[in-house]
Amino acid sequence: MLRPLALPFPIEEPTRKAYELLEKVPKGGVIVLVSDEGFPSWAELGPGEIAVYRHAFRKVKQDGCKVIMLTCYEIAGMILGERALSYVDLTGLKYGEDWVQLGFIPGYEAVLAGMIKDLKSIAPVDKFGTPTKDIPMLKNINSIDDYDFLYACTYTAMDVYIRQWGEAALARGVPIVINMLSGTVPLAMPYYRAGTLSAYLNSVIGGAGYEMLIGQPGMGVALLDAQSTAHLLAIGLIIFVQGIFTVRFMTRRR
Amino acid sequence: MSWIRRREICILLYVIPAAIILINHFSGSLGPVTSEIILWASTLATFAILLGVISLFQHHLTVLARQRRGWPYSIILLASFLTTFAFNYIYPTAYDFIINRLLASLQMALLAYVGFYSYTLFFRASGTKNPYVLVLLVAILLGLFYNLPMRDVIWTGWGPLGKWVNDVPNTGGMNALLIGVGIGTLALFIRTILGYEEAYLGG
Repeated sequence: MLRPLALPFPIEEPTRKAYELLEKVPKGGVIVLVSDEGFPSWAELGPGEIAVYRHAFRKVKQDGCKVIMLTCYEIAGMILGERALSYVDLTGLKYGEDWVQLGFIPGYEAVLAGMIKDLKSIAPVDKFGTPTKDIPMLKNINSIDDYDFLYACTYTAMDVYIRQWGEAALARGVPIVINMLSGTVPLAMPYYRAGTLSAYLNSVIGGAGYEMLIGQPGMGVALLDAQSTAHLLAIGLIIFVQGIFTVRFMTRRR
Repeated sequence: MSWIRRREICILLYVIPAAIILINHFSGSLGPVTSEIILWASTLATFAILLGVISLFQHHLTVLARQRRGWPYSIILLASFLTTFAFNYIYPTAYDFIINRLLASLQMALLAYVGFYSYTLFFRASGTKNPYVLVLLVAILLGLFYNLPMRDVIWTGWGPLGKWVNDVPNTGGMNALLIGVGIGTLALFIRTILGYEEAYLGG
């Protein structure tokens, strides 16, 4: 914070792919943003969330895409999704025509399963109590056949999204992108390699990479110095302690 | 009315919706009924939240009435709950302050504490002569270097090496784990529809 190191960092292939997939959403396409993160994870997932929101709403402005926001894990996700939205310039966009906030819908997996079959049945009203059947934007949008991009931000197991969306999304060629904690990336690898998970953002480093790709460096890039030094401290401690232990062990043996 | 508490009724309540969803998944012939069942699941989850609140009050009011150990914490919890709940309807600005400034900051601070705990662990538990633990430590170091944003400044090989570890041994292990979980889930489902699994009935 006092003196930024501004060290270079790699933009990972899954991050680049996530950006390209959102960029490829056709004119008038529907982008679904599910915010299921919790407050403790904001420092890690927030940069990616903000960057994806910025990119999605840029697509709304440039290509007339539509954005559906919802949360189904815990209410914190909705609050944080709206925090990410506060970083977006919404000038010229109209609620209900360009984007819609369905709010927190309890039920988690049931909601994820329901939203790809019949969105209006699991969300009869939006966050503000307006019946979804009366929202102009949702007139012809109700199932996975109408979506062009599925995004979820989660701080728990990511396989839930693949379990509920994977088969239908793969059959229709709808990409799934998940913004997740570094600790859950190993779990995502089989799905990523199999193609069920189209791309992912690996925590802060993924978020920072996405910020660079959209040309709006922010919280992610700023956090990288802290992450680098924290990782180096951990590496240093492990090597130092194991080194001392090994020297002591060898000395005793002699 | 004792028949309503019969075990068979509870099993049927599980089996019928499960069968409908399963049949629809393979045939697509029960779409509207499946949508309705999924909507019920969401509605039931809302009632589950209500049930949770009732249980919370029951438990903490009992703690207060009997002055059990730690009863002052129950006062703090109930007062926090009622204040937040009331502010949401009568003074939304205060509600936003509680959620965005107090709750968010406290939860983030709690997770930061886990960070310090991890560093203490690195310092206290890293020394080992057990070869298996050494393998684990090497894997941890590889993972840390791979996730280190400035890894290319130290050595450009960390990226390809970490990617290989992630793509090959990790994916292989995870695939095996997921297949195991899948088979386990299937076995659990069969046990449940046949009435052998009783954990969800409170048995």
